[in-house]
Amino acid sequence: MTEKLKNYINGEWTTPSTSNYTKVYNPATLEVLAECPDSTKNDVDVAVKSAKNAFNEWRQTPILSRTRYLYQFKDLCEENFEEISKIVVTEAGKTLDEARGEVRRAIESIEFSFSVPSLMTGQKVEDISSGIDETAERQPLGVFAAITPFNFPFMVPLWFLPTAIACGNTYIMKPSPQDPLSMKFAFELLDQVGLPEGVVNLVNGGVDSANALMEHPDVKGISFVGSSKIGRIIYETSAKYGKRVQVQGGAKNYLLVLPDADMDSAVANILGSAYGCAGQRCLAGSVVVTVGAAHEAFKMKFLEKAKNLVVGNGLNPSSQMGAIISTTSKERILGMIDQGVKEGADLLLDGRALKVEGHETGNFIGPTVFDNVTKDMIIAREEIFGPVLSVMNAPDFDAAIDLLNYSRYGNAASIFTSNGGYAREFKYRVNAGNIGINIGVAAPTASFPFGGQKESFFGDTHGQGPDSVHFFTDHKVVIERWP
Amino acid sequence: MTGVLLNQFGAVLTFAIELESKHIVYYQNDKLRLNFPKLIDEFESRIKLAQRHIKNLERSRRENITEITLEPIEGLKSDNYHIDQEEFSLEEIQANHRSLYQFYEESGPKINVLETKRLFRKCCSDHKNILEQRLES
Repeated sequence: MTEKLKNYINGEWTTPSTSNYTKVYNPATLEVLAECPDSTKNDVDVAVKSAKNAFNEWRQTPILSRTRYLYQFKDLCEENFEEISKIVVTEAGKTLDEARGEVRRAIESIEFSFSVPSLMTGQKVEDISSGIDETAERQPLGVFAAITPFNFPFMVPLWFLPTAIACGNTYIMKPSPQDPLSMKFAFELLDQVGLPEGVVNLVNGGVDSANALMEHPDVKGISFVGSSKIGRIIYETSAKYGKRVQVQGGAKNYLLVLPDADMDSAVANILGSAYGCAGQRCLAGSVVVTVGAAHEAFKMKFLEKAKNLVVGNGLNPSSQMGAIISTTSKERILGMIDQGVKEGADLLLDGRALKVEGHETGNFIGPTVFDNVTKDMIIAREEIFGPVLSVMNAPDFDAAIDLLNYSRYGNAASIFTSNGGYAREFKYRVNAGNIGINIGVAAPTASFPFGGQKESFFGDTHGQGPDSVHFFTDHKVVIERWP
Repeated sequence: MTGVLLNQFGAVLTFAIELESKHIVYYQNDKLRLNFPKLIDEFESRIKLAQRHIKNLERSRRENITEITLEPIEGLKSDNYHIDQEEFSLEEIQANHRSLYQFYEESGPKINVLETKRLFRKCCSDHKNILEQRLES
């Protein structure tokens, strides 16, 4: 009998008012790990009520005391680092190193929240007019919520929750129903920390609970990470209901390789970028644009390395690439590879038939490489979210920049070169929010905003960094004169 | 971790922790202690050193892993390094340290994280110093 997950509301684990549950699978083995409830609008109402009730007392809790709870939470995450990493491997299919990297990044986000007491300081100007002073104070707003994706089930939720509550808000987390177990564990740790009831709440569910959060009048803001298609709906619906909203959407990240690049280093970086987390991350390199003579040099070296990558169960320490999250995702990726072949791209490395010994039923696809891809092929335009790299060639730097900027997405882009002038031009002209220079995964650390442009981001203030303090607080201006 | 490809950061660090742990078990073995009763204090100090190595290796594995470190590592196989736990002689003690020394010397330069490289250099030098000591039973 698998565990039926509960919600965490008002400091207690509660059974949701639904009979609908979806199975949570280990992507490498298809073993059923748990059952995730499809929480209802009523469950969301209860969670929002609890968070709203907790808000007034929580915002009055001294800011340093608020962050001390988060110090304790960070310590618990460090103590349980390996266990959390293994949960992430088991539910998300990634390798142990990738999971450890995810947990480390999550802890960095908790650490960032320790700077909230400094970042929340306001501004004051004396004598804006004779004897009159003006102050801008930052105040928390109330209940915030996050709707988070499957690909980083521990890290992405913690981009938001620690900063939000350090700012004095209360929080509702709705993790992906595909892999909700690491968030369950996070809330077990938060429970140990002893936060006041209702400050943090966990609602497991799918579309119904997401809709209920967006439509609820007492939820002040929504953070979302996921596909652009759903992101646009979240953005429009949340805005319609008068909420603050930040949406980090999909991506199609281009990587430019110039002939003067250190090719060994470029290949190693791009290998990690394209196949890390089996390509299921919004910063994954998806299209390599080589310029001129870089094409052959890159292609030969890359293929040699890609075909030797060890694919397998993430718990095996030798596995360098793990599984795809679900059978549905696997089918979708295989369909896109088929489409690439139909559209005339050259399939240089085909991962479709890969079987992992001992895990024949697992959701595995091997590293896949296409060459001679053109800009209008589906594999160059659409987010694949799988271990598929497309290679294109451009005659010169300007033509390569045009190819990059042709994409409707603008999450990340990288250049590999030893020429500072090209690097500078690249970061200046490319329409993407996160730029890598000789870096394959341009992942901003917690103290920097997570960029994104075009259809990769909807909103004004980005997740992470000082932007997030802006998102989770409101300016109140006080103008005063005393007799 | 026999027959394991040490092909990425975490696998190398985990293997280092495993070697040091086996080393502790070796020094704790009653047969070894009965063979060399005068060396028990020395064994204890070596156990403490291995425990310190493990603590630092665990911290390094926990704190230094990000997307940037996830590049493949080539040319390391666990089978090339071995801690014997059956033979209890002065020669075997030396052979075990030699294996650890060799492991850190060969794997350290392949790791692209400065802090971990430094730790491997330190562990390497600790085992080298022990190798240079002359144990007398």
